[in-house]
This record gives sequence, structure tokens and C-alpha cells, in this order.
Amino acid sequence: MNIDVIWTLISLVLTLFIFSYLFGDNPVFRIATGIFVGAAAGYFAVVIIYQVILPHLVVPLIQGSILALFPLILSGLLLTKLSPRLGRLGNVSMAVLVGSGAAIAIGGAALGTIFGQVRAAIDAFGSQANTSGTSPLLLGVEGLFLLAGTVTALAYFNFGGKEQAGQAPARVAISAWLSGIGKFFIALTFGAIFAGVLTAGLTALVERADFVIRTISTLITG
Amino acid sequence: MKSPVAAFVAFVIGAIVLVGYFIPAAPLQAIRTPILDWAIVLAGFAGLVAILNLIFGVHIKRIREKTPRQGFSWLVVISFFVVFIAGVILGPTNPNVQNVVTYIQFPIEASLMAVLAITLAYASLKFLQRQRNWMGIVFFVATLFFLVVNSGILSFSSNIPVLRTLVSAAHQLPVGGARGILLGIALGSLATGIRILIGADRPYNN
Amino acid sequence: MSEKICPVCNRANLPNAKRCWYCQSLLEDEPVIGEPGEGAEAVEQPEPEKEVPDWLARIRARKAIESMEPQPKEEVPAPEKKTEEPKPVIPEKPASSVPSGKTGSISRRPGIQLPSWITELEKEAKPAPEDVEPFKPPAKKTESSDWMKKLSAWQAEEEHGGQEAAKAEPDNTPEWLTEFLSKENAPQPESGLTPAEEFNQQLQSAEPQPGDTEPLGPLTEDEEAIRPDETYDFSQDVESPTPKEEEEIPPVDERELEAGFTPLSVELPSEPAAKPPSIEPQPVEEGDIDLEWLEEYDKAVPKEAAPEEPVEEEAAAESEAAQPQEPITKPLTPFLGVKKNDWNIPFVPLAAKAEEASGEEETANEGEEDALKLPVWMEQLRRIEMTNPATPSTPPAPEMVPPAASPEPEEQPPVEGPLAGIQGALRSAELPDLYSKPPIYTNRIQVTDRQALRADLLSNLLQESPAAVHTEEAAPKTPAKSRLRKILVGLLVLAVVLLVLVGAPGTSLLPVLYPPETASVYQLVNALPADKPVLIAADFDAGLSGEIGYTSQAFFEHLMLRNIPMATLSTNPAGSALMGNMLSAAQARVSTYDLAARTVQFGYLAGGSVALQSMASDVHMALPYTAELFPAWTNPLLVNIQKISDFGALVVMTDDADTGRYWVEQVQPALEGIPLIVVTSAQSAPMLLPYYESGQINGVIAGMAGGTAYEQILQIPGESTFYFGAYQSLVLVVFVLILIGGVVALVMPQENGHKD
Repeated sequence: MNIDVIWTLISLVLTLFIFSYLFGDNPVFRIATGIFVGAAAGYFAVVIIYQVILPHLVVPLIQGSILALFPLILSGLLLTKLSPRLGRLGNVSMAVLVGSGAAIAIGGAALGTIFGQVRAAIDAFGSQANTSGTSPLLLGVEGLFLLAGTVTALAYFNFGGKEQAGQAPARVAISAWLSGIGKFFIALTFGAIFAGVLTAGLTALVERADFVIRTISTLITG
Repeated sequence: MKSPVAAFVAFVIGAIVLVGYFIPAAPLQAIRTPILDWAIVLAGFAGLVAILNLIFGVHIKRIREKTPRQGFSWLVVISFFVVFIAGVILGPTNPNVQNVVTYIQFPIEASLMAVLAITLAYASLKFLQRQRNWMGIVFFVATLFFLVVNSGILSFSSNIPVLRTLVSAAHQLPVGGARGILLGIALGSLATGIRILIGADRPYNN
Repeated sequence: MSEKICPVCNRANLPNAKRCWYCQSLLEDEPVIGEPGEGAEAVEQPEPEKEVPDWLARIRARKAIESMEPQPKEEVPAPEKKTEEPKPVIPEKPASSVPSGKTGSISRRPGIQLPSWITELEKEAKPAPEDVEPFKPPAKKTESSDWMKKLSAWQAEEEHGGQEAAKAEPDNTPEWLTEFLSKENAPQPESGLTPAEEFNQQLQSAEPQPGDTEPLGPLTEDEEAIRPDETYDFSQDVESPTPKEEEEIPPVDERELEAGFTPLSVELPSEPAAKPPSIEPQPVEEGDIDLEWLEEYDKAVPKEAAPEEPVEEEAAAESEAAQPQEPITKPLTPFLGVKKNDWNIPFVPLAAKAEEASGEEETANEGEEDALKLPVWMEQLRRIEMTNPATPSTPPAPEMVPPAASPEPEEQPPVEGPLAGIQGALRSAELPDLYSKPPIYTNRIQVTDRQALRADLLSNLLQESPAAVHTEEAAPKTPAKSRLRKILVGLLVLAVVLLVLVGAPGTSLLPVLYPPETASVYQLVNALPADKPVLIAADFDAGLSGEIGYTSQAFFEHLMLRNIPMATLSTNPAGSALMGNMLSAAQARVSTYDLAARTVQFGYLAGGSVALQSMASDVHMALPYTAELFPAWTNPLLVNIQKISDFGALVVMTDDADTGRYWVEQVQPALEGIPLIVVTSAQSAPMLLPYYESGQINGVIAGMAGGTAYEQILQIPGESTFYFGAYQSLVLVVFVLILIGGVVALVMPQENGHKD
């Protein structure tokens, strides 16, 4: 039997095992997930070794790079995280990761999203859409809609409140009004996202169903 | 104060990386680029640590302790070592090793996604029974509307100019709210990053 | 706005607050003040503050006078409730002339009746007028320092081991002195601590002062039950043990007596008021101070009054007895060490030094140390005796110390000699600076008003939001029925897709309206330079790789048709393998494209957004080798690539809006105008479209609909077009299911959740 057929059969069996979850949790489903977890972890480990550690650490060390000693030390400290007793030694390595990640998040959020999206919100009435030939009135309405959605959705994330005697804190009037509208836009966006999740899953279902049909068909027809 | 050295390291590293966004000076970049490379190595090692902990700290431990679910752990451990040994010997680019992804990982994950879609569809049936406020109704209607948009069955509208315009406009509906959400996420990331850099939050301390 | 200032933590509270928000102290008895600053000032200025120097001066004077005279021990306060009194007792903010704020000095508010025991104590402690007169402290009368006076007398009494009491009331003291002399064993203390230690603990527990900014933990029941004015009445604490100890003076171990009270045993019976030989004035050379007598004496005092741990004390006594009682010949250096809490940091080292001088080894156990050491407050008082402001460079023997009339700052301590620096701890002006309040930790979350407001608001918002659906409550009441419904829905969906795939494959209503972002991709690919490679990043999981495959197939084919070289990388471990399959599938339909020759695989790039920034900064360093570990940048396809903007375009294939955002944030600014194209899942498209609208993403192919549209634009029907019918059928089935469910839900009564 061809090795590819074996692989395909394995794939078919695993697919059916997973679909058995529609009837509830069962042993075959757990078998499939167990194999998946182990195999994915094993492949991930191999990829890390070959495509991260070797090119970024081992090869530079072999080439005599002194700078590579730093990640070597930091990596060694990071491995101490496996030990409850020595785990604190790995905090420095984690600090390098977290510190650089925090700086990346700050820089990216500021330069990538905030500046870009604020500018886009300001330019919502801009001319870029004019190239589509849409009427200026419709462009204006669309721009107003986008601007309103942006501002009000952002207002929704303002959780500042004003204390009222004997009552729970509440938003100030203008903030409450804006956030109320913002909730509409956020619900709209979440609806679109949820529809996207559903369609993505359904696409996966189509792909898996097609695989099952084709595989069974191949097995039957030889 | 826990691990002030770690806090100091996080601040220094973060400051160098952050300043590099705004000051593209060559000396600064000469420091910043290796730091980012170290972070790549550390991220890889962090993944390894996570895997080792999963295998040895969880599943092999379960097997040793003979817990009721040790059969599942046996599967995990065996499949891990088979793939790992084969991968180390053959390399990750070997087609036989990549078949692990193609014929094991991909079908299982894709099937899980398909099952998730069915589960979500079932859950959607009862959505309005639990969330019958105006925001829930907006969400409900938006979900239905964008399902139709995504399905592409509104193609017939191409022959009706007004409808075509409306469909095109509807395509832009979620953009305003999404932009507001993105700005909110960015502001939150900004605040969180600053808190980490100044040491107010120290997720690196265990 | 009027506020209540907490007497304990000195923080402003709302006028109607019954308890301090920060420390939970009772506020009812505190005056409501007009201004916070005013209130703070009022609280920080305890009434007896100005009189403190008097009592302290009196203490010093009296101690200087009576330092060699024995006092009965039974007056040592041994409070049982150490948490009852401290807070108001200690001045809130040590004034310039208050060296005693944290050294055991106690101020009293006027109008408080002195306990009877203090009155008696005063009588007992007061030395004969002829003895006191030459050393009388300043005659300034004070209103509220009576008990301080008694305290000083009591201190002196304790210092002198009851000699003065024996002198003043010879009928009372001989009883315990006789017991001492008879060398009987001491009794066990009731509280488990020596009175001096308990008193020291009381003082330590009084650390949180009104002037402090640190919040206090919640008060104990005892603390809550006590009002500030009541806290001065620690007669309850003292009265009960005192008579007991008076009556039951324990027999003391012989060795202890030998170590600490041998002179007394000789001298006192015959002449109680006489000074013991061991403390007779002796000529002392400069720099020489015999502190050993202090140590021995100190250890003996608590043992006699209420020995806590007889075994340890015996051991200590043995060690002391074994040491030759020689004067210290080397100058003492104060503040050698830091021990215990910072409350008594400046003082404990002296005892430690004395111990060191006497050759006594410190025990490792701190509790043992406590048992062996002189209480801090006593050390402080004792140090007054050893200080001679007039001759700072010549530290006198304790017996020769003239009365220290006042602890005012002008009485500078010696800067040289064995006592150099010790007085510094007593200078009233600097004393507060020498202390730091011990940290007080509380398990309560310190929530500010603003935080509380926001928490409440967030809670209100969440209650209104869809996320507040009570999922646990929403769990089906009949699991079997629910499971059956779920199975039916699943079977229906599966039946539809199988039916379409088997019965009518390829039948669909194909899109005619193309999303503008998808049309942009087509234009961009057409505009790509053929000689520049396109960098393609696989940033998706295996679960959605089926959808990504459908979405990207026509795009890949378009690139291959244009024979554009490709460099691929993955930010997901499985991404390289999955994208390799996609490229192979596309290449199978575009046979003219030499996949092996026209593509370079970089492999996996770890690190998430950090790695993306690294790649944007220096693509050579971030991707030094290919997946097969060959040097990447010597590949003929990449020789002209020096930075990321040298690629023809950047294509990101992602199923996650967040990772797509990372690419935009980190890499797009470095692209310098080359196009950024995103091939994404339908689920992340809504969150990526704003970037397309803003121009940060130049083109998007989203989901199966986008892939089908691209195939339609490209006019090469592929898998996406073929399966689009099944996809449409499923979407419509789900649409109908949700619609029916919604209509039914609107008709039927509401189960759970919220209704506007």
C-alpha cells in the first residue's frame, strides 16, 4: 500500500474521530486529540530547534559571535523556569521578552494604529473613495457614518463615571449618549465578526466533507 | 519588590527598543537589532520550555502517578517522541515529517473548526432567547445580514444600481465600529506597555 | 468640603464616614474639620507634645540621679493586650523636641485620670528628696506629664533593680529581694513574654502613627473597641500582673543571680539605698566603658520580673557568668548592625555591641535574642545615662554621668569616643529621621474612590452587554434534549453539504460584485515588478488553512502566471508546511512556474510582533538562513534584497485579526511604499478592513467569498469556485436556522438574559 494512502487513511480516521464529537465527548475523540497534541508538540519542537535555535544561536556561536553569548545565557536562565526552585532565575530572560514586547506594543500601537486610524477617521470624507465614482453625497454619508462609528465606539471604552448620591456611578450625559450609539456600532461589528467566524467554520466543514467524500470515493473505486 | 534586576532589565530593553522607533540613529539601531534578535531566540526557547513542561511536567507525570486519564497521556507522549525523533533525524523540511502537519495536524484542526461551526450554528438558535435587548437584536440582525453578504447571493443586485450601491455601502458598515475597537485596543496596548516598562506591572516575575 | 481625618492613618475621609476608608479605624470620635490641611495639622499636634521634653528631661535627670539605685521590679508593666493602647499614645508626628516618639516614651492627654497603679508607682518610685534634689530636672511644671513622671520613676526603678523602692518602702521590697537573695527559681510569666518585652511590643505595635501615610490593616476587635482616649488607660494591662508579680516574686536561678545581681545580694539587705559595689563610681579612662554590667543587669531584670524562657535565659546567664567582667577597652561603635524591625534599629546594635564586648554570642534564634536582650526602650533610657553632653570626648562611667537635663538638640552628643553617634539617636531634632515606620501590610485591596467608581461603572456596563449572558444558567435544563437538538442540527448541516458536494458539485450563484479590496489585489499583482520577489508570510493555523487555501489559490496562481519569485516565511510552526502544500496545489495548475527555482523558504520566525519588528529593522538578521539552513541572502533570488522594502510586495496570509494588526503596525511602516496585501479568513476581515480604508493595507482577499471573487476577476475558476455552491448552501442553511431560532425566541417567553 502506498504510503500516501496510509497517510490519507490516518487523516480520514482522525477526521471522523473528531466529527464524533457531535454526539458528545467520547474516547475516539480523545484519542484523536491526544495524537494531535503530541504530534503538534513534537513538530513544534523540531521546528524550533532547526529554524530558531540553530540559525539564531548555534550557528553564530560556532562562527564566534560574542553577541550570541547573551541569548545563550538568557536562554539558559529561561530553562530554569522548568524548575520550581530555580524558576526565579528565569525572570531576567522573561524581562527581556516582556520588555521588548511592551516596547513593540507601544510603538506599534502609537505609530501603526493610533496615528493611522485617527488620520483615516479624519480623512473619512477624503478623496480616496472618489476614484470609485461614487456620488459625493453618498461619500459624505459614508464618511459621516464611519466617523460616527469610530468616535462613538471609542467613547464606549471610556469607563469614567460620575458618582451620584445613593446610586451607582454612571457616565456623564454626553458620554452615555455617545457610548449608547457606540454600542450599536460595536454590535454591528461583532455581528460581522460572528458571521465571519461562522462562514470560516463552514468553509472548513466544506473542505473536510469534500475530503471525506473524495477519500471514501477513492477507496471504493480503488 | 520582587526581582528588581528583572524590572531594570525590562525597562532598559524596552527603552532601547522603543526609542529605536523614533530615532533611527545607526548606533542605536546597532544595539536595538541584536536585542530584537535575542528576543527571537528567547521566544523559541520559551516555546521549548512550554513543550518540555507539557510533556514532562504534565503527561509523563500523569503516567508516573497512574492517574485515571493516563491513557490520553500515553498517546500524547508516544506521538510526541515519534514525531520529535523523526523530525530531529530527518529535519522539519523533510516531506515525511511535514506529513505530520498535512495528515494529522491539519485534518484534526480543520475538523475541530468544522465542529465548532456546527456548534455555533446550534448556539445561535437560542441567542435571542437569552439576550433580547436592543443590542442583542442589532447583533442578531447584523449576523444574519453579513451571512448573506458573505454568501455572495446578493450578486443579483449588480443589475440594480441602487441595490448595488446599498450593498457596497453595507460592506462598509462594520468599519466604523471596528476602527473604534482598534483604537481602543491600541490605547489599551499603549497603557499596558507603559505600565510594564515603568514596572507597575511585572508579568515576568513568577 | 469638610472631611474627617483618620486618627490612625491621617487620611481624609468623607464627612459621613464612620470608619476610615483606608485603615478601617473608627472615625466617629474624630472631629470633622474644615480643611484637610487643618485637620492634618490638628491631628499632628497632640496636646501634650510641648510637654514631652519635660518628662523626658525628667526621665533623664532622674535616671542620672538614680541610675545606681535599685527599684522594685514589680512595677514593670506587663500589659496583656498589646494592641489596645498604642496608636494614640505615641505622638502622631514627633516634634522637634520629641525624641521619644518611637522609643517608648508615652505622652498623655490632659484630663485623663491617672490610674491608681501609677499613683502608687509614683509614690514608690519617688526617691527621697535629699537624693533627688541635687539632680533635679528643670522645675517647669507641666500639666500632663504626671504619668510621664511616673514612667521615668518607673524606668529608674527598673534600672536600679528595686533599690530605691527598697529604700522608700523597705517593708515591701525585702520580700522579693529576700527571694532573690535566697536564689529561688523564678515563676513562669502569664503572658509568655517578659513585661519589658510586652511593653516593647506595645510600643512597636503603636508604630502606625497618624502622620503616616501607609494604610493600616483592619483593626482587630480590640482595636475597634478602643477609642483614642481610652487607650491611655493601660492600667488594665498593668494592674493585673503587677500585684501578682509583687506577691509571687519568683525564685531566681542561682547562676542568674551570680551573673547579674551578685553585688545586690551583698549590699542591699543591709542598706537598701546604698549603691551596689558593681556600680560604684570608678575612674574610667577615655574610651573605656563597662557595658557589661548593663547587659547582665538587663538580662536579669526581665528574668526576675517575668522570665519567659527559663532554659534559654539560663544558658544566657551561664554564658554571662562565664565572661570576665572587664571594662570594655575599645571604643564602642554605635549602629554596627541592624536587627529586628526598623523601629529599634538604632538602638539594638548597642546591646549587640555590649554583648559582643562581654563575649556573649548571639543566638541564631531571634526569639532567643529577644529573651536575652534589653528592651529597646530601656536601652534608650540607659543610653541617656551614658551620655555626657558636657564632655563628649570623654565618655564617663555611668555612675559619673551628670543629669541630662534635657534632650534638646543643642545637647549634642559626642562625636568622638566610644559613644560617638549613640547620642545621635537621642537627639530629639533628628530622632524622627532615624526611624522609619515598619511596613504594614494588609490583605485588603486598597481601592481608591476613583477605582471604585470605575469598577462599579464597568460592572454596570457588563450587565448590559451581551457578554453578560449567564452561560452557566443558560445551560440546557434537559441535556439529553439539547444534545438531540444539537445532533439534529449537525446532521442537517452535514446532509446539506454532502448532498451539494455529491449531488450538484460546482453549482453556485457566483459573485458578480467584487469587493474593492479584492479588486485592488488584482491590480497590485498585475503591477508587481517581475524581477523582485514577493515576501509571503504564512501566519495561520492548520484549522483555517482550508479556508486560506481556497482564498489564496487564485492569488498564487496569479503570481505564478506572472512568474514572480516568492520568498516564504512562517510565523506559525506549521505554516511553512501548510503553505508549501498550497503553493504545490497552485503550481499544479500553473505548470510553467518552476516552484523550486522561483521560491525560497525562510522557515519559521519565532517571536511574534517582536520578530516582525526585527524583520522590519533588519531582514538579514531576522532571517539569516533558509529552512534548509542555507545562507538565505546568497540565493540568486534574494541577492538584491537589502531591506524589506526591496521586496516587490509583502503578502500576509493570516486567520487572526490580531496578527494581521501586528504586521500592519510593525512592518508596514518599513515597507516604504511597496504594497501590503493580506489574504485572510472571513472571521478576521472586519477588523482588518479599517487598515485597508486607511491605506495601510493595499489589498485584501477575505474568505471563500473573496477567493471566489478573485477567481472570477482572474477568470480562472478554481477550487473556491467549485466549492462555493456547497459553501453558499451551508451559509444559507445556517442563516435560516438562526432566523428561525430568532423568530421563535421573539415569540416565546424569554428564558434568561436581559430585556430592555
